[in-house]
Amino acid sequence: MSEILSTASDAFRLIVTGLPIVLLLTFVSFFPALGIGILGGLLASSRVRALRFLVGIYVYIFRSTPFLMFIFLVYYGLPEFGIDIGPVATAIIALSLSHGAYMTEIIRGGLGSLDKGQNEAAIALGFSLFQRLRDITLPQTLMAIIPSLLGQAILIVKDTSLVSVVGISEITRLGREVVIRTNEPFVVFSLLALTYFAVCFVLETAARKLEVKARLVISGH
Amino acid sequence: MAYFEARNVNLHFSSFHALRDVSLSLEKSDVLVICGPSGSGKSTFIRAINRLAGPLSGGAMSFDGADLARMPARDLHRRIGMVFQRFNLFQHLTVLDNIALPQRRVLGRSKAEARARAMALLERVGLAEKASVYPVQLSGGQQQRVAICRALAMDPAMLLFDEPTSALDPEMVGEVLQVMRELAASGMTMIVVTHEMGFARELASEIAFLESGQVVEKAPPGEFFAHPREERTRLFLSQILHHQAG
Amino acid sequence: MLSDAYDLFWQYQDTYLAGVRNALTAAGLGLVLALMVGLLVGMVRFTSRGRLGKAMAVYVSLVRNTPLLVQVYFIYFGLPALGLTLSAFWTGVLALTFNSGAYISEMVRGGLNAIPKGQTEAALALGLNQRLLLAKVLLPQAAPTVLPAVTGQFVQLIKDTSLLYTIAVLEITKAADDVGNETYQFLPAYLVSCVLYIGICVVLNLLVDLYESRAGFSKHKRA
Repeated sequence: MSEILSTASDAFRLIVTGLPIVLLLTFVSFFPALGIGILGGLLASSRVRALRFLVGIYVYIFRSTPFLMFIFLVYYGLPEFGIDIGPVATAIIALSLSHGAYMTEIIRGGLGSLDKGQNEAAIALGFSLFQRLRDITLPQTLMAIIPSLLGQAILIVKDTSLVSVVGISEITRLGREVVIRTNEPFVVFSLLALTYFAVCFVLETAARKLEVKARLVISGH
Repeated sequence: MAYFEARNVNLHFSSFHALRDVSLSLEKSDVLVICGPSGSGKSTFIRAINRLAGPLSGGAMSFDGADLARMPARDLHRRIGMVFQRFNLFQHLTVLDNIALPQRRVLGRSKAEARARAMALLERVGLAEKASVYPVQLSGGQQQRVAICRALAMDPAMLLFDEPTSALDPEMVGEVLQVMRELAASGMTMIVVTHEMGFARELASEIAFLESGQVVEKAPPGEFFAHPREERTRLFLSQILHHQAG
Repeated sequence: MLSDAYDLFWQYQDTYLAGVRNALTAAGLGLVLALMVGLLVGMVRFTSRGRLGKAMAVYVSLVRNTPLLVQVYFIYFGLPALGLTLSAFWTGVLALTFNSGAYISEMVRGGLNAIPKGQTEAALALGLNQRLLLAKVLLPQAAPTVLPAVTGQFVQLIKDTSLLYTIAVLEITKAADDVGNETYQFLPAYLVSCVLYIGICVVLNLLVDLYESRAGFSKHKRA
């Protein structure tokens, strides 16, 4: 019994040290990915066919290749171009590029789902293009896509478990080390799973709440 | 020259000829009702007035002595308001903000002034207690009354109504028509696309019947209903009156 | 660099092709097993409001809110502790089944929920029992919406096989790693695997499109 307890406290310690890395990686990758997504989503909604095509290829590549392979590609690829930035920056770049592709899809969909009548009403009332974007299009798009963006944040949290392959000691890797040392897989991995679960569950609940609210306010979709 | 006048207006959607030589006019404080089967171009015509249908391919429109095509978009939209079939209230704003925000953005009114005006209008249509709710929480009839308030708050010189009651359940049509009736009585200049023949008979200065993008017939209501000159008008009237009676 | 990758592929095609074969096998087995799990769990969650339904909801929520890698480790390290030893490959298949089963169950439940309630009421009014109602009325109607999503899940499964790398199963990512370790040409080695994944995905999408146009399903957005 005391052995299990010491394993548990071991595991608890690793979570306390490993969790901040997960949260940090998620947070720091989310915003570049969102930036890429906004740019990609706008380009994908543009009238220029070549732009839509290029964005389409970018999205297709990332939807058809696994993140684990991609992070290796970035890890081994950047030094070939004389860029040596260490594992954490490598992980952030890989996460941003990969999830930027998914966010491109989310934002393209959000822009496409808007009711044309909203824009027409704003035109008929005399709003300028800038006012229409700021007061109508942007807030409505944001309300429509924030639940999906939080869903994407959950996927980023889960993908951070894979960055240990380039030598970052996040909690999954630390957990594995504790298991090899103590041979207590159930205790350690249960704690590990619960930790991820807690983070993702908070995001999932927030997403669901906001989705209900968005549906209350923006009907018809 | 009439207060509003359209002369030989033509409009194409790529190869589709949506409006063919449409000429219509009305004087200040008049109510022009436009009716016709779906696809006749009646909505396209009033959308063309405030540039929601794209550029004309021929003809001209004038308003209050000025050429509409040369009027800056902001002036045009400030002076000619519009009420849509599907209300098009801003879904992410409360009822009050739907009416107040355009006043602030387009007319530069202060927040307090815009809100006071919005409340006064809501009072007038009997919806003051709904000021802080979102549009989806209202019935269709209530939404349309708010949409009329939103247009009125801009103090327009003329209002366009694009089938304002077609998206409503039958029991809500009356409350919206009542607001429009009061507007007409107060001297508002209005162009109304509608199938509500009772409203047309009661309030229209003139009724125009459109089909296939052409004005088939236009006449004051008494004459229009009693002695339609064209066979197509008679057919349309018999169908629609029969339907509304049933 | 691309020509390096091209040369590497032909030089080590046995490794790469073994990787592709293992990945496709694991994903294929995973899909078949996950379909069974998903159908079962999805139907239970659709019909049961009781304890069983709640337990299934917990399973789905746990899978969706934890990384696949943790699930793989749980099974890989956990089973031997219970005295059950599976090969790494079958451990991987089990993890993929457990994972994809949860996602597929959500698709099944969503498809069933999307059917108008009147269908159930009509069937019950005609005297059909629960089993016939599901088998003859609801599932056939859910199929056109669920199947395209399930084929999308197969692409996801192919991508997920990359995690078997972490338990030393030779799949496409591991193949690149092995070739890289042998030649020290890591970037070209991984480029080959990248192209292989994309190639598989292109072929799969073509097959799905072909199948859908044959079957006359409406084109639903695939996840």
